Amino acid sequence: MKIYGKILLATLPLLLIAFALASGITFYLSRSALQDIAEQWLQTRSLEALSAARDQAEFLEAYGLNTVEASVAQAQGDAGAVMSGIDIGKQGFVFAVDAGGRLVQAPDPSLVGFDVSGEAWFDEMVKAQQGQISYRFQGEPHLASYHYFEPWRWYIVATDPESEVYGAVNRLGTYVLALGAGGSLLIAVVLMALTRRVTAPLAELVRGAERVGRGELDTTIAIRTRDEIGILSRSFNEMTQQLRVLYGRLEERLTTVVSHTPIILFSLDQNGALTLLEGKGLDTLGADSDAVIGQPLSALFGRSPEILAAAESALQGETVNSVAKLDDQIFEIWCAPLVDQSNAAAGVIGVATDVTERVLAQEKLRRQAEYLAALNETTLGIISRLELDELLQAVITRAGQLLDAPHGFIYLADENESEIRRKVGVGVYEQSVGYQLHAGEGVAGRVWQSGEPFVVNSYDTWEGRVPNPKYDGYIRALIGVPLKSRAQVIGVLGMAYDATSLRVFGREEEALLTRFAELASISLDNARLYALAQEARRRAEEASELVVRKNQMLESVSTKLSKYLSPQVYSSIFSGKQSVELSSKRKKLTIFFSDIAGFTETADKLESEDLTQLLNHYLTEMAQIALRHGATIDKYVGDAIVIFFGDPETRGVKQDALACVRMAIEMRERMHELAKTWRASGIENPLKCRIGINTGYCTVGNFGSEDRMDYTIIGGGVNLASRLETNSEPGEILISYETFSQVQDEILCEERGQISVKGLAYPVATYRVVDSYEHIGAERKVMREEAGSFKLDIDFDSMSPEQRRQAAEILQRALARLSDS
Amino acid sequence: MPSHEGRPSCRRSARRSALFAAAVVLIVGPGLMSPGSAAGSNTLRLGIDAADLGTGDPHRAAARNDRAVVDMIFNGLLRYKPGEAPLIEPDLAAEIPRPRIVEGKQVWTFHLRRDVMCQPGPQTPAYRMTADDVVYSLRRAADPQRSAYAGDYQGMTVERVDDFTVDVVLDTPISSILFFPKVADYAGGFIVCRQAVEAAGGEGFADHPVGTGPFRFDSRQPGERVRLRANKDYFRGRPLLEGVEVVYVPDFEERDAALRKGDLDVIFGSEEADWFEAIADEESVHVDVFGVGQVITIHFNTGKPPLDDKRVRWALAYALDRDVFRSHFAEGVVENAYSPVPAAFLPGGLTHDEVARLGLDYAHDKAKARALLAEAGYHNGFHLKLVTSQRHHYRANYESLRDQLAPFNIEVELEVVEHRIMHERIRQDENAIVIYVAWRPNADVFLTRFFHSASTVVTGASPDTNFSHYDQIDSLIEAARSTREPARQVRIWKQAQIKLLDDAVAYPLHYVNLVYARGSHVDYGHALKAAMALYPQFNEKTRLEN
Repeated sequence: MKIYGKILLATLPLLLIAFALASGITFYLSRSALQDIAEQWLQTRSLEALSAARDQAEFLEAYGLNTVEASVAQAQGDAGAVMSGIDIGKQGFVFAVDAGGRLVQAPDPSLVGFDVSGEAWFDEMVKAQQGQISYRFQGEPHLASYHYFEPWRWYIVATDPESEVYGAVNRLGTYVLALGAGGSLLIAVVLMALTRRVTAPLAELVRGAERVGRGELDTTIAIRTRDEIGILSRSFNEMTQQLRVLYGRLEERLTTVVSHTPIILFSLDQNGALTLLEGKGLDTLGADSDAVIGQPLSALFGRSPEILAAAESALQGETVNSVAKLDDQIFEIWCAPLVDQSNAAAGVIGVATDVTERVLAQEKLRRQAEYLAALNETTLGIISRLELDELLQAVITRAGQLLDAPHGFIYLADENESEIRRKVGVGVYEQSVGYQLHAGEGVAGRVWQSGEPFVVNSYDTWEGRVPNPKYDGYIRALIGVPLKSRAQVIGVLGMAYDATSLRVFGREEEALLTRFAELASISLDNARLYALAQEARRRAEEASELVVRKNQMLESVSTKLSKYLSPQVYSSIFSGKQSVELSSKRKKLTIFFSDIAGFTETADKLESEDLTQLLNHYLTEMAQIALRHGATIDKYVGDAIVIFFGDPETRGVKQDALACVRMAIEMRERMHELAKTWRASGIENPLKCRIGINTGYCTVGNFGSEDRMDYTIIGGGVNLASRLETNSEPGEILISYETFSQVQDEILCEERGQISVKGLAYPVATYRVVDSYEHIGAERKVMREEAGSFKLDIDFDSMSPEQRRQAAEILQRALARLSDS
Repeated sequence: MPSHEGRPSCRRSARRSALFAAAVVLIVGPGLMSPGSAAGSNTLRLGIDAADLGTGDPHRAAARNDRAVVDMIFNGLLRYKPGEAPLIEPDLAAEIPRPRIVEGKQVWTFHLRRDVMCQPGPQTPAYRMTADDVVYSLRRAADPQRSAYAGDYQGMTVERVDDFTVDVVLDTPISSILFFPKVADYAGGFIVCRQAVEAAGGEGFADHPVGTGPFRFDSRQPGERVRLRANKDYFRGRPLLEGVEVVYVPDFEERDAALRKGDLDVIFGSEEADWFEAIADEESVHVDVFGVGQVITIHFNTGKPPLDDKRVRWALAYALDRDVFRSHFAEGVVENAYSPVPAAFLPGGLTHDEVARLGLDYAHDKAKARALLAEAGYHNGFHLKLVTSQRHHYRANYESLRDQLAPFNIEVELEVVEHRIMHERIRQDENAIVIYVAWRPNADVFLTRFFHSASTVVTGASPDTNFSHYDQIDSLIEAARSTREPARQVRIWKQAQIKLLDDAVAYPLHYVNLVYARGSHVDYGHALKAAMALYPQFNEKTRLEN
């Protein structure tokens, strides 16, 4: 059965069943849905009618008219009019029946008065009072919904003939069936037509494919449609077209290949007679293809039994690959049996490719590869040698291996380059190492002079030879090549064959040795460079040792020096931050002056050694404190110490001032402690310091001459500090207002009146340092309040009694005004 | 003996018309008949049954003849379609509005036409009518000092929104049936021109009314005529007539003669059968019978014996026969009425079918009447003394009543008095049975003024024309009034009437149409079924054919 039949048989019954099912379901569902809708609808209408009656009855009740017969009749008439206006489909209507079974309201006035009391459905209505009924009226089945209306004792009925309720679906049933049957028929016909339409071009395609299979590549299929079949047909046509083109191209390529490559394409019939003979390879054979067609293969390849044997094997059904010689030519032979369609042996096809040139080229290549391998190995062997003698030995050995030469030598130029000297030798030349030649002498001399390779293949008869009884007559061929460092010839590499060898030095050998010599030259350069580097390293190590020694000396010098310099200055100078030269700058510093009160008297009482010890002890202690606080110790003058803060390192003017004052406090305390120690060593009166501190601008830097410089400070600020010191009492620290303003937050001070200083036009306010607040555990008595436009700022400590009195007076005035308002 | 009464009057008329024919030539003639008079050949002359113009102020005009004049001069926001009342259409308003409720109040927004010009007045030039005039006018209508209809406009405020938009706000929402008549071209709904009113003052304005209608006031000859000229700037187009002359001819024969001679073009006619017969032969004259006429109702006083007994009232109702009453009037002029509110002209009336179906038409039934009287203990009848107006449709009906009740031993003694006097005396509760002829603009007014307890004569809160002393449908009347849905409102009115008919407090007798005669050359330019203006309505389309 073809596709056509299969499709029809499968789909048609399914279609018919589906149609029948769909029709049946549609009909059933529609009918039951319609009944639901109709019942709902009728009930709604019946309730609508009931509400019309209820409206009227309520109206009568409201106006006391329910006892007036005419009013009730009118109301019923009005209700009836509303009921008549209720539409139920085209044929349905609302009617009312009184308790006696008489129609009291109907759209058709002729029905009014009609008696239905005998009807079974009326009894049902009387019994149930409200619900749904199915009944026959005037011979026709009706559906109805009814409600009993008590005030008028009316049964209000909304009804509709079933024919109308189900009319649509009944008609639909017929339509659906007819449509189903008609549709099935139509689809069957369409399906048949469609399958035929589909299968006809397929059959045509099948026929076309069969024709192409038989080799009829000019087959085309007529394209009748644009559908998939049409596309398939077009693709088929394109495919055959492609095949035609490909085949043609293949044929052309084969012809090109055969006529341009040195092959011979031949075929034999089953009797071994040539049926085809083509190819460029025939040119070298000088055979005339036309003449030998029909002849056995031996007519062409009679001199090559290998080819004939291969053809014979192919005739037997084997595929043969082999290489055959024909005279001086070499052929690659490929022979395969030909079979006809019934798979029977029908002859042989063969290709003979002339590979003579290829084989020769391969042979040459192989030799070159061997040379290269040797060269490579040789080079690698020598290039890593750095010791010159060892290297020269390796070079000569490798060169011998490379050229298969038993004798060889290397000359290197002397330092003054007036002659060359044989450095190493092998074979006959081994014995005469150290032999010297001048430029132009012998082979080596010539090469050294010209810088070009030189070959002598009959050394015996060469007139330029340097006579040497050892190898005269023994050495037959000699070659020399230059060894160069950059462009300069630094030596000569020579190799020789003796009379026992048949070999001579040809161009290949010359080129080979020249290249080897170039590589050897590089190695020689390397070896010389290595030797130089070794020498340089040795010298550097010697220099380094010297430096270390000098550094050690310098360090000891600077350590001694540090004792005479402030560590900051010291490190500043030695770290290179500040150069040691005559320079100065202006900075705000805090300057400290101290001396020991009554030192001169004490000094007079002491022995010189004791004095030195005491002073050194004192200064060392003080210096330690000063350094801990980051001070720059300017100088000691006897028992006096000059210290400043703010250079070369500063922490800011305020911090510098604070540090200075704290240092002074600590020194004073330390002096108390030292007093005990000194008392023990016989110093009766405790030593007390006088200390003055000022903060101000000074010029700081290296002052002095080129030969001797002093890092110190000068300026008014220094003088004031000194004046403060001389004005202070023993054990007292006196500071200027400038310093006080910087430290007052943390240091408790007392005002001590004013002093005049030479060089300053105005008197200077002075303060006595009591101690730091931190030490005495007290806070500075300051009161600062702020609220809106009110501000209070009182520094109780800094107030004089007069100021306190004034302040109290002002505050009392303010208080009085505040309480007034 | 109605036939006796009718014939002599007819003979008297004939004699009188002969006399007046001469008199008219002598006295009125030169003005009335001369072709060279101020009235050109294209001026329509209306002969009307009144002595003079009462007032030209539309907010006071109540007499039929005054209503005709103001109808030609003024417009309303809406109008009854000319000749086709009670159909309503826009007049000065561009469209009929729909109400909306804002903060519990009902708001009707009127967008005004922008092409309406106020006529030039004696002190004012012509100017464009705007919302100012409308607001002024409706507020004026609500002012008891300046309007006879102020009662209809209580609980209503009028606000100008912009030059051509006006909001009418009602404290209590009402239906369109009740609202539209307030703003239609009827009574207080007429829009006056503010500048003219303010320039002229109340009385001056009444003497020389200025409006926006198709005709404008020209001149008045007291006791003789009022001349109106075409308003060439009328927004519906220049009238085809040059003008209208309203000629005051109280005597019917005189009017009749003038019409036949061609000295008048239109006259207020007569409902008498004889005249109808006579005029039918005149080719040059055409008689129009149309609404809205008036409803004749017989009211029974339920407040005193013997009519306080429902059975007695039922008996009277069954004893009377509408057709007998009708025989005293020309064919077609009078129609039987079965409902207090005339169903043919107003929403809320009960049709004959409806009444008959409910058995409330009280179809003439002597036996039933006797039985009911006997049941009530009056098989020997009783005596009633009633006053009647000398006017035909009162007196003829009272006499017919008397005659119809006589066989039931009910003796009715009639005292004929002046029309005005009758009105006074019936309002003093003299008659046990009142026959009353009236038109009211809507069902609410009909029911309220005749059957609401507040309207009870003498004793009511605001005594009016509840001659029956009836108080059983107050709540229904009020419920209907406050109902905004017209269909429901109609249903309530109907139920109210069913109740009162069931209680037999009134016996709707007749509906009397208007009768006007015109020369055949007069074309009113519109259909003529009913006119609230109580005359055939002349407007821009009315013309005289040559």
